Amino acid sequence: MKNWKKNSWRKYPVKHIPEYPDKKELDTVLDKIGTFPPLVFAGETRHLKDQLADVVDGKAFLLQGGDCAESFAEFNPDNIRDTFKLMLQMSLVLTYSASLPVVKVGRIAGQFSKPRSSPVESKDGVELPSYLGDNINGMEFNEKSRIPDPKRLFKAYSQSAATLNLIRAFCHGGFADLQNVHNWNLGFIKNSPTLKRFKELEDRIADALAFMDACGINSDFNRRLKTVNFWTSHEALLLPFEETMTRTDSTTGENHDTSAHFVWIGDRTRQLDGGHVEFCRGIKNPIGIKCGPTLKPEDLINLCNKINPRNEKGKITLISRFGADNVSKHLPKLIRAIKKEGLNVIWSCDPCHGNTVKAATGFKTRPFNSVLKRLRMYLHATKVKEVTQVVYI
Amino acid sequence: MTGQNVTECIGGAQKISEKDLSSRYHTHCDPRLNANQALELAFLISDEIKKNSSYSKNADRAAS
Repeated sequence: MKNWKKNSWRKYPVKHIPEYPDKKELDTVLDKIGTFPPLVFAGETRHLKDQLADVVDGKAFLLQGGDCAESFAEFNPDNIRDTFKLMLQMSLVLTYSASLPVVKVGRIAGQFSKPRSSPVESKDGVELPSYLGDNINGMEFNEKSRIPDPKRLFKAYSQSAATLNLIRAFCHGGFADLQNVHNWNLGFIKNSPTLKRFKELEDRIADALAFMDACGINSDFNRRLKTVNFWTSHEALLLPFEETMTRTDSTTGENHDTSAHFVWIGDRTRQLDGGHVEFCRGIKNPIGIKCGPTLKPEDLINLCNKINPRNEKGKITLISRFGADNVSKHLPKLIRAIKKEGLNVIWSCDPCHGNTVKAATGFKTRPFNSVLKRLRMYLHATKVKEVTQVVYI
Repeated sequence: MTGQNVTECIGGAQKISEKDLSSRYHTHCDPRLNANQALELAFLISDEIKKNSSYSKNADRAAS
């Protein structure tokens, strides 16, 4: 990669990266984390990219899902297990109906921060800096807690490592064996029509497995029935951390951001001449680009060419996040432009984005029906065939 | 989405209402689909895929 270093983004303007009051402490923390082991390995990100290349060719479906943002407080094994189980269940539903393998990517093990619409938050006449995510500052509404604290990065690193460790154990330790499909159910889903449908699916799969077993094909002989690949992802927002997690693969000389298999650039940080795009163009990980209503077709083409100059399959996933009214207005234009240029991309839909309303009880909520409506409009706008991913937030 | 049994998004087969939101509203960020709602969405996508047979015709074979 020409004129690129893992710190070359520092020469470009960046948005949504906090100012740490104690820069010396930040550097000390980053230097220390730079000596820690990578969380993922170069061979894994290459493997994911190969799988995503199959998605581009319509030979696989991509499912990306998880928390909007992880927190330190909600960190416990049951939450990780339940998210993992749910992804397996959803994948099974999709695999069964489409007869396609599902590439499973979790928003997990590092998805701590999100850009905020406002840098400050007011409550009862008091104005404080916004809460940016547990890896940056604290949620409590007081001045001390809202100061960006570099030491939080240690905790974020160790939580990500422990989460990944459990996920790897689930993937390869027998939990994900198709023979165990009956155990994937989440105990609290009872008596719902969805569960009934899933149970019917389980029974059909169990029958098929029994038939295959009788023919001598079972998980003792076929590892793919017994294990799954589950990849991690988060927004490459906090570049100082991503930089220190970026390592050079000794076998190829390539640079990989080892904080996750897949990282994405947000809609608020995708400026062509900005630091986030500069950073992402140099790493070998598959990259997601969030596409909102302000993205012009020519800008999208330029972004793709900058991040993926060789037009490699599996490198770029375009995650569209339009309001229901905007899908048909904006998305077809973007799809046409990408087609015209012959760019290899995965089109993905984020049906949850936005869509929030304030309930009479004061809670910020989303009507499930509006999520469904968005998804239907997306499927219609893309004529289904283009849909290769759905992102759940 | 989350695998937890939260009440953050209204509607779905469980018919979560605005009144129910307070019972298990845990998000640190935006409201998330709970496990039931997310699985419901997966079935919806699978129904749409089935309708469009050309998608699955291109498939080599399933592996999960």
